[in-house]
Amino acid sequence: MSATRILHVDDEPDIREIVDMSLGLNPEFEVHACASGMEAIAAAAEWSPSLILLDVMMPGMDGPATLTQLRENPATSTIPVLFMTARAQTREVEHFIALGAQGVISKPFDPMTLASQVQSHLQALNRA
Amino acid sequence: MAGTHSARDLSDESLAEEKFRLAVESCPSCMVMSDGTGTIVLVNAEAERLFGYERDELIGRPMEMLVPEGLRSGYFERRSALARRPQPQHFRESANLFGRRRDGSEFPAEVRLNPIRSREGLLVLAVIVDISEQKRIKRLKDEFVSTVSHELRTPLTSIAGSLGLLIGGAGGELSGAAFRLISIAQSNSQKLVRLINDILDIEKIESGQMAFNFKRLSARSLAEQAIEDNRGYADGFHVRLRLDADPIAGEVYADQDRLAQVITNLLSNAIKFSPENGEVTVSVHERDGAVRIGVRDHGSGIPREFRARIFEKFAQADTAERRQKGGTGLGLSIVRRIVTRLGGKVDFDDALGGGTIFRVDLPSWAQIAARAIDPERSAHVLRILLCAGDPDAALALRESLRTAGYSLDFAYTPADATTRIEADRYAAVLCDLDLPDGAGVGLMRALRQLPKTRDMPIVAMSVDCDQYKDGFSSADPGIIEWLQRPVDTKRLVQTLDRVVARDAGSQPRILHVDDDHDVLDIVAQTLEPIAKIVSVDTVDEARYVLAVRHFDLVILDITVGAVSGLDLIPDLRRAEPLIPVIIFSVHPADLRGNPQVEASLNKSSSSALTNLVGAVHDRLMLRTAPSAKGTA
Repeated sequence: MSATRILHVDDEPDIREIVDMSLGLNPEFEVHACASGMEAIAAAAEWSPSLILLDVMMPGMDGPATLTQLRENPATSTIPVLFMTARAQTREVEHFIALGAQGVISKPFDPMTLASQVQSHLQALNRA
Repeated sequence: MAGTHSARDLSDESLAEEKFRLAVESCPSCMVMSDGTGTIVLVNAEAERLFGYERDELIGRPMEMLVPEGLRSGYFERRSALARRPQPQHFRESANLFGRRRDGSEFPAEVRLNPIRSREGLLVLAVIVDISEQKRIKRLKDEFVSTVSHELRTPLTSIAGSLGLLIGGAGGELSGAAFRLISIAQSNSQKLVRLINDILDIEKIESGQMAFNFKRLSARSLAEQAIEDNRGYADGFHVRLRLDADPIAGEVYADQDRLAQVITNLLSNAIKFSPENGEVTVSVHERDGAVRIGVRDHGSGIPREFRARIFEKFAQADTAERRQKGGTGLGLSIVRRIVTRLGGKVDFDDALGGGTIFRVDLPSWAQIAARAIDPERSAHVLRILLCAGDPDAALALRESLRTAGYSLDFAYTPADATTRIEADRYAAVLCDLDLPDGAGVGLMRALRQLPKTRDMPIVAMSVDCDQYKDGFSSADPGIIEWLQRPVDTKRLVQTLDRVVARDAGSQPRILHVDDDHDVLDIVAQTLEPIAKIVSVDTVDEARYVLAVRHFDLVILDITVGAVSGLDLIPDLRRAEPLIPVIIFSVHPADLRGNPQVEASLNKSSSSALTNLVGAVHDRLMLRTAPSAKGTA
């Protein structure tokens, strides 16, 4: 069975490492991390991940700007994106969905259940 | 003996007067007193300093010179409200008032108005405070809080994440002591997260940035859900949760997430302060148009000395037992702010049989729905339908449009709106595009599709109109006006006037000022077929409506309450273009020397109405002149 590729984007190295370990609890996940929106756009086109976990607040190009660019490129326009952000208000979540994201995972996240949260998002997307 | 006595009394009196004058003069707050016509009659030294005028440049001049032009309609509206109900009023920072200095610069102000009844009629003492510095500090504080909270959250995500992985065994098996120590660190990092979330919530509510998505909800279902969500937490304290509700839905009109937050905050307090094996009851009842949600514990009660400040920020009863419960000291403060914003109130009491009960009272959906139709509408005003979410903001808008001659009904959902339009006749629809789920735009599309409403004028309001404009073509058969938020009353009234006039073939507009409601009614009925009539019963209200819209003619009574209607003539002279006047009074004055006065008619004459219609016709040279009813 081929691995499920997850691209994780966050400017904080510590958080990249913790997300890497958390997602590693699911042996089927293969995780690649990026430190910026620019890096993520290149990696997404090249690596074709099954799902992208995208931080909202990043210096330079932030999460929403990154998503907009991903959606404009035919090679990456259909890759599902989950935002990772501080507890968002309903209206902000609606805004993210309107931008083309598939959902939101709030920060701080529970590291022991992050992999299963991502898994259930993937299953829901496959069913749809 | 008696003579000397009264001489001493007199000098005592003048001494008292002198003391009073000096007190006012040297008072560090700016004081401006005006009379019933809005003319300044007294100022103190601080008023001269604050506004940059000399005293003799202020005395005898109209009060509105101290108000920025854009805010004058609001000023006249408040004056007329104060004249109707002379009670002290306090306009805080949230009222967004500004003062205008001599050099034209403006400053944010807090204003207290104290009406004083004197032998010369109503006087109003305004105490005005420049709050520029307060606002600057508050803005700095808000920015600081939001930056610090975001900056704290990032390392905290790493700390909580690392600890979570360690406890979960991702770093190998932990010894009993290590497991215990890391658990302590983890639970404290979670407490910090809650604290930051609470601080951010308070900051969002205080700065008005917390969005409330009002919907029709069942308080009972919400209570059931909150009980389910908090069961795990209660188990940790060995506390049972129980619902005690009437067999009703307890429908309210509120924001689901926020009301759930209220119940959860009250529940987690009740759980924390319950004895082991205790029970917490959530109740939902409805009576007298209100839905009451109760959360009751069997704890040791709230200490007397703490009760007065229980809803304040960071208020925690200062006992070791309470400090150890892991609260942030913000939960109840958030509860009260949210409940107030939802139009309700929260209080607490000792429960019968021990413990404490917190009660949240919210207006029931039935009560909110009953407010949808304007109860004070009169037959001559145009009716407008507002489709918007926030019921308190809708009520405020109804009041400010009333004086401009519009009666506002509400629809809380697009479905409500279409039902209302089917049932009644509206001159225009006012649409809030910032409703959740795109409901506002959905309504606009629905109106355009129905034959009955295809041509109906729509005024659409949004913080971002541009994102919606593309969806509506310029070839649209009806009128759509876009208003960028924030919308002030003057712009809204002007826009409504414009769309309604275009719709109705632009009739001339007449303002009628008279304190006799029978006269107002009969004149409105008589002139209705040939003009749009706005009737007001005070000079202040007349000033307000003149500030928000243009009139082609004013019909003026000379005695309007205790004030002379002629006081309005200088205001009318300032209008561009000049507004002609017909005096319609029991004692018509000879004002032929005044070029503005077209006619002076006796309203007690038997042919009063015929004469009035004739004069109105002459003046307006009506484009299409159907015969007015009641004049044959």
